[in-house]
Amino acid sequence: MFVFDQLRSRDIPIRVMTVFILCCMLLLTVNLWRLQVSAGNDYRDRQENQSIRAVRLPATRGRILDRHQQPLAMNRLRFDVHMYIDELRPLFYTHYMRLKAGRRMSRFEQDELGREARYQVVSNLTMQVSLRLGQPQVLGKEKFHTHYYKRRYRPMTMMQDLSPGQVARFVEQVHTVPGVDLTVNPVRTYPNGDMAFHTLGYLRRDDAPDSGREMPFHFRYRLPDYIGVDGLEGVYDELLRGEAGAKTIRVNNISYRTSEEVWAWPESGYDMALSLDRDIQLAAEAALQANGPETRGAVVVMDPRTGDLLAMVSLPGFDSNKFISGFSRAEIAQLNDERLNRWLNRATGSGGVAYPPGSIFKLISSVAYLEEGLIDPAKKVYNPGYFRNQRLYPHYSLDDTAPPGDYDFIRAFKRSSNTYFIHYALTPDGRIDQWRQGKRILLDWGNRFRLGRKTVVKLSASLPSPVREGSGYFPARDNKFKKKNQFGEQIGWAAGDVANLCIGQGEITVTPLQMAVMTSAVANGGKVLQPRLVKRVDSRQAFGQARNQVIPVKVLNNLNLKRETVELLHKAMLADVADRDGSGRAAQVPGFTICGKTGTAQKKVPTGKFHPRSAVRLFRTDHITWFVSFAPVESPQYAVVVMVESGESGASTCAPIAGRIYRAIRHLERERKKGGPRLAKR
Amino acid sequence: MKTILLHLRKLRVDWLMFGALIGLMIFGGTFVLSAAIDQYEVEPLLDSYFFRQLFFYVVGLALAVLFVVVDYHRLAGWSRAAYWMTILLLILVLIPGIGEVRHGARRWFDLGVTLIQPSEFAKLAFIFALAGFLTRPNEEMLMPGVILKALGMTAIPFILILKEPDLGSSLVFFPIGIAMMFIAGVPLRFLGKFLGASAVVVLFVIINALYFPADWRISLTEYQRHRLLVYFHKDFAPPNATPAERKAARALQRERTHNIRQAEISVGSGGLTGKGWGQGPQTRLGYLPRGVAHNDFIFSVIAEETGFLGSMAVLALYTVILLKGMQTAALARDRLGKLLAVGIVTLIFCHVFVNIGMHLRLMPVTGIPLPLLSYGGSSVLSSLIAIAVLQNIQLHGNTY
Repeated sequence: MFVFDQLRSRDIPIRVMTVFILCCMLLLTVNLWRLQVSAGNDYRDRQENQSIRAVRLPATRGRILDRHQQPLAMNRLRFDVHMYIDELRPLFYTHYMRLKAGRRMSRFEQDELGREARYQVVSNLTMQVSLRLGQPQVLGKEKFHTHYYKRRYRPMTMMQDLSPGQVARFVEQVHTVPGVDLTVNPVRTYPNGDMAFHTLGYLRRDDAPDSGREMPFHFRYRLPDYIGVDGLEGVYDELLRGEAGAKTIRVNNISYRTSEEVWAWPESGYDMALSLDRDIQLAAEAALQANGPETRGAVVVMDPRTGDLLAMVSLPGFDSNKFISGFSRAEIAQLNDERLNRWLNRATGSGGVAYPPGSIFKLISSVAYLEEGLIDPAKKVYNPGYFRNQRLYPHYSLDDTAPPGDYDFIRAFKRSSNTYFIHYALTPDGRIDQWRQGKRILLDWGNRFRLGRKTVVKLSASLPSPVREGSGYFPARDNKFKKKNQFGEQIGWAAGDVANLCIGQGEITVTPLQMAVMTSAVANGGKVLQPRLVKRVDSRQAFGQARNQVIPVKVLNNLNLKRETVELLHKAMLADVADRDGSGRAAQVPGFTICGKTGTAQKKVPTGKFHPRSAVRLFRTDHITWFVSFAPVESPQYAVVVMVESGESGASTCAPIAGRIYRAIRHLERERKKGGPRLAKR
Repeated sequence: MKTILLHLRKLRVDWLMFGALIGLMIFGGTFVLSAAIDQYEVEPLLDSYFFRQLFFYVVGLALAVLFVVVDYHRLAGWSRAAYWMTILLLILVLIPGIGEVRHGARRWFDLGVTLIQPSEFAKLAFIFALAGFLTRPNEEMLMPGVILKALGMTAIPFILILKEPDLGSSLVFFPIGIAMMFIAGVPLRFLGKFLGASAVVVLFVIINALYFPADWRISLTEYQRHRLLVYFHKDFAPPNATPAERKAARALQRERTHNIRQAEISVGSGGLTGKGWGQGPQTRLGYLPRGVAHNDFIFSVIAEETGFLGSMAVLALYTVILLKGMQTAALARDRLGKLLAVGIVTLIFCHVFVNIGMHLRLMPVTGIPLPLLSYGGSSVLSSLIAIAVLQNIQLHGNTY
């Protein structure tokens, strides 16, 4: 071997030098191994870090449809004009050379001139294109430079959301302009504007750190993505949103894009079919709105057979679209209006809002008395125009709105006589301490109707309740003390509290949704149903198994009411609407046998002032007006609950609203019968 | 003509060294092509680095044949003239108007078609001249006058090239000179003294550049100082800098370290097997600066695209040539041949070690090309001539 010749050579300097050279080569080898093999992966990461930008691709959001497949929330195509800055580099260069005009410049001046040249080119193009599209735009200097220095590898948005006319003009006139292109993006849209605002919810731009699938890199940039905040959009955000994908953009040393690679395509979200009927919802909103421009109230329309929510209205609402397109100053003021408080879902009581039911609670009182065999419906009770019993309850008395006279059950029900109902709660047999029995019965039946609890429990392991609701308040069966008063004292029950409870005042607050469940239970003979808002969740996946999920009808509690009880109640409720002296006669619709019950609850509202000497908070009385109803009596299909805050009375405020809703329903039924085959197909 | 035929018939060519030479040229050609592959979309093919490099290889091989065929004793006869010739050229290149300025240094003559860097040829001429000068009886190696003369011969081109400025190239002269003197038999105590003295000087220069306040720095240009700061991983900003100055210093530091950082990433990210020819993102996307990828930093391109295996192949080829050179020195018939061979081996070794070491951050950044791989006419021609001389020594050393 030739290597050993000089190692064996007698010439020592030659030997020394050869060994030295070999050692140095070995040193290089060791270091190469260290750099390329031992630390190779680190360097590869560094290399990718500087040359790869990961961009998150949002998925198309699932649609929300009504029971007839009408879209309530969908995606429309938005056309944006984008500018690809990397394609403009030759223009930058020529413009730069023109500006420079052969002058000698320092490095700093050259940089400045380069900046200016780039800005001028892009700003000219922007003006040129936007003029042709009939919507002149000036490009902000800062905006451009920020984009240029931070996101050069991304196209820059020049104009957003072109009108169809502008799209046509773009294709005709602008497509030859260098570096400018039209892109299409899906954008959430709510075709019915502010309809069912609280039920559907809204979206907000999502700038949170990475969510969704794990990726072997962190995102340098997210395409505009939205997250559901309230209502269904919020509760089922994960299902609706789908799975975001990712792509990587390779950039060169000056950050221009050189190639792209899609790692994972986005998977679009699930579609949801609701039980809502868009037309009934619209009619209910119109009916409630007709009460006045600043109406605060709610309507729930439920199918008493299945628990399907056909409409759920809370007013005032807001246009969900604005959360994507942006607000005007006036709209921000609207959103911040504390008196109207648009954020509250008054129908479900989300945000802790709940109302005293007033006389509509007499439905439950009636069921309780009748089921317990406490009253003989035909027996008449004398009402002197007030309730008073000096012997048993010397400290309690209450005026009645019903005129003095003899009342049997039906008359007492339709005229909403407080005396009659309090009589059976406190003194059915005229013995002392009978109010304890009254308390037991009322609390028992109130709990059987599931008051004080949320109406919807979890749908399945993966599906939480679709409605955000409050539970209202109802005492448990063994309740000893009332709710704490404003001084924080706990006080035990007294006869007056039971008297108040039996007419829906005092220790009780409810939500319109709970009242719809109650009304349905009375209508269908005692089945306390779980309201159904979402009927079906559909996966739009093209391959593999479709992961559809149908939400079944669910009876939460069967009261097994006696037939006589149900028939008597139906009769009484029918009389309330049909009779000339019924409180709900304003809800009458010819050809529709409507059963109803009005209610006007008194609610103490803090005035915000305090008594000057005792510093006790001062209250004023506000009215919560109600009308609960179902129709037709022969085979109940619709349960309609109307609630208006600060209304005049249940009879004059809410019954007419319900009447309008029934009229619209009847009209719709006829229309649909006419166009029957077409609808049946769907 | 007769002699050429004679040699060819005998075929006394060192095929191993010749093979290594061809291997390096293949590496050089393909990766000079890869380093500037985007160039071919905009510039005429014949004007590209690749074709120029091929042209230099061909011219260089032709010259090499000449330097193989003519006996090195006859060549050495011209050595003194050649030495002073190149000194003259080194002086001329410093004169503005004659020497061409590139990247702030005046190192080149512009011949119209190509640039010529006289310092590359000065190294060869210096080796011949010093070999000729040291070809004298052993006893004379003890005379301080001879040693001082030899050191003087080393110092003249060193100072001239330092003036260009080209610190890297100029510093190469000392190892060559020392190695040749060592082999020639200059006692170690002389060399030790000299080495000690120069170590003190170098240490002073480094400390002066790194730690002294601005007014006290004497030896280096600002640019050279920056390279030292980068090499020693020093902060550019002085300790008492204001935030604005610190920011500016930080920006300057990023700029100055950019090349070496990117070269390091290129080499490291190559991994075991590399990313394939023309596939290296560091090169293709321009992270490795295009101005240097094909010349001083060609090893980055090779290491990135062929990985550890390719880098090892390059090292192996150089090792073959270096060891062949040492073998030539060991078997040389006379003192002249031995000294020439040692000088040439040291020259090639210095270039290879400094250039590759720079990629691995063993050495500071200098403008020293990698022989035969880096793009550059002067470097290719002088390297080919140098290796031809090695072959020459083998050939003419054994015919007697």
